[in-house]
Amino acid sequence: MKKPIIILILLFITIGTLVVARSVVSARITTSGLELSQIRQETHDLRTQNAILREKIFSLSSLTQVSARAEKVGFVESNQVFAISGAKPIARGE
Amino acid sequence: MIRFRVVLAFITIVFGIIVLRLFYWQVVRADELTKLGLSQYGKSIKIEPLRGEIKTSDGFPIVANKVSYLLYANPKEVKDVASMSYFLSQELEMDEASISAQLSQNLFWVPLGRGLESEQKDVIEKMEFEGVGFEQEFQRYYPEASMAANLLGFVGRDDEGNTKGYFGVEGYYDRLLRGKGSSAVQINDALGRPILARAEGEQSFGTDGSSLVLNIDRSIQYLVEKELKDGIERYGASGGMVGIIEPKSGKIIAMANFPSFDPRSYQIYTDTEYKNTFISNLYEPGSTFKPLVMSAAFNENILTPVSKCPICSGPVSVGGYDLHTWNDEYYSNSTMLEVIQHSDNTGMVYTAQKLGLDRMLKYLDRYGIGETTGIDLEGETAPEIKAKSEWYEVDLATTGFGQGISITPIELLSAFSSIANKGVMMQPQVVSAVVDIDGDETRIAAKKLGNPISPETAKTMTDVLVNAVDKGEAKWASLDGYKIAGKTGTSSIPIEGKYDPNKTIASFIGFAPADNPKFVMLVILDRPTARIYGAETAAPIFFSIAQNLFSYYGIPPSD
Repeated sequence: MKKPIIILILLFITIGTLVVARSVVSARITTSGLELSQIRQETHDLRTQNAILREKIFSLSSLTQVSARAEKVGFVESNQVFAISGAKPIARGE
Repeated sequence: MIRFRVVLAFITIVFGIIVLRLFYWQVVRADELTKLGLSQYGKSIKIEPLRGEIKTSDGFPIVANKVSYLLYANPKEVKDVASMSYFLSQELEMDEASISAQLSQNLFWVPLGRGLESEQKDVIEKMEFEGVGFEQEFQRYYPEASMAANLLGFVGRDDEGNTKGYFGVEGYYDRLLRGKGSSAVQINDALGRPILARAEGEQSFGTDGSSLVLNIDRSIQYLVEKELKDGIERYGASGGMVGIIEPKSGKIIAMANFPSFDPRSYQIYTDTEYKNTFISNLYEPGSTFKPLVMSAAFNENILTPVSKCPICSGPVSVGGYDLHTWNDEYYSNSTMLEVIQHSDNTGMVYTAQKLGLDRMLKYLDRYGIGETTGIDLEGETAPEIKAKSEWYEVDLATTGFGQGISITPIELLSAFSSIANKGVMMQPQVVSAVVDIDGDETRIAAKKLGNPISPETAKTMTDVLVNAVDKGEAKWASLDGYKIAGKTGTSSIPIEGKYDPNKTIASFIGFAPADNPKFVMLVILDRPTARIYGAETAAPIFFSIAQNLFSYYGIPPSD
């Protein structure tokens, strides 16, 4: 007669454990969802900031900007191009 | 017994009603109620993928994305429509009446403005209007403003309001650039706190678009656009274009068109401004076509550079038409070398006649004339070459000097580059690599289109073209110490069946250094007015760009 009681007790303990586990997991998922949402928001904000900063970098390093600024501070285009080459050997030994 | 039956009937009827009601909810209105249920514990979020960037060969994003905002309002919550409409019209530079009309609608959500800068958003937020909100989105951003606009195309919206690339690179690579969108349901708990998110009908949350790396060299593109713009102003042309290709690989290094457009506000432009004329405009190439016909005759061993022209002492009569040279000067018994040097139309009539129609058609086909080159840009066109039975004697003669045949500039550039590449014609390629969101790069291999001529013919033709630059009508503009192969072109424009003598398309095509070509360039000016000939207009632009390219590539003079 003792065996069914032990089995029943074990079953109740198992059920109880599972109920508690389920509650814990649910609670954790809920918290994780909140954290996930915060992380997602943070990622979104960083992505936005990153995009704004990239935009500034590209704008400042564009050739259009650089050449306009160079002209403003007095740089002029060089029209004279020269090449330095060594004297041609008398005999190439070919 | 009667009472029993009444009760039984009553229970049966009630049961039937319940079954019918359940059927109505579970089957008839199932979809609607499912959506209602979903909306009660979560909300649907549309995940818009970030469009890929387009970078020049130095890795600089010539097309990037910037943060912008969509301004919307709930008209039912807006209290003072008049003052809000006035403020927003001033801030957004929009019509006050249209904002007011939007705010007067019996709706819960109306869009008020798109593409707002973050500064504009801050200003509007400070006013603390009720019923107004912002939605963040990404918009195309062009750090180099309208540089290469006709090559790149633009991004608009399709019928469903989704972003879509049109024309050029944006149009051709739209599917790769736009990525894959998705929608997800954000599940909330009883207090409205988010729990999980899951994709709807998709295994993933979508992916951002891949980025493209172009063969376009930003510095050369900048230089080419500047030179072309100056040239158009100097010679009073109505437009112009320049294309530069690397003959060994088919890489397009630069491609410029004027008039151009600003891709940020493409809506205010017309087709003529945003289409890439280099790949879609048809024109008669004139004398720049002569090297193709001459090289065909060389390749068939019909003529050599020293073959004499027996019909070059005066105008030639073909099929009832008198064909003249461009300046009405004639050189009897001139060699083929001199025919190209003087850009002699009668000499080219002789060449075309010696070649004959069958071989002419064979070489047009070999050079890819009458077919699209397959360049990776949306909007390329190519008119078909007419059937053999439709050719008259005069057509063959005029094709010899590039009149009576219509092609696109890219067709000519592609065909001509085979002379610079030992007779091998490569497919023009704008994009060099595709980079996915994980950073994995897929290189696009160079593709050979064919061998229209032999390496020996290409070498002979190169020498003939070097002679044309050194002794031809554009020699005044050529560069000392550099071996450049090239040919001028001045073609008349056919209008209503006749050629207008005062309106021309001036062009110059060439490659350098002739012994080991680094680039092939085609310069075209549309209707120059200050001077009308290619030697006086397009040639100086060509040589000016070439000089800068020699410095840029560090190529010293050979002499």
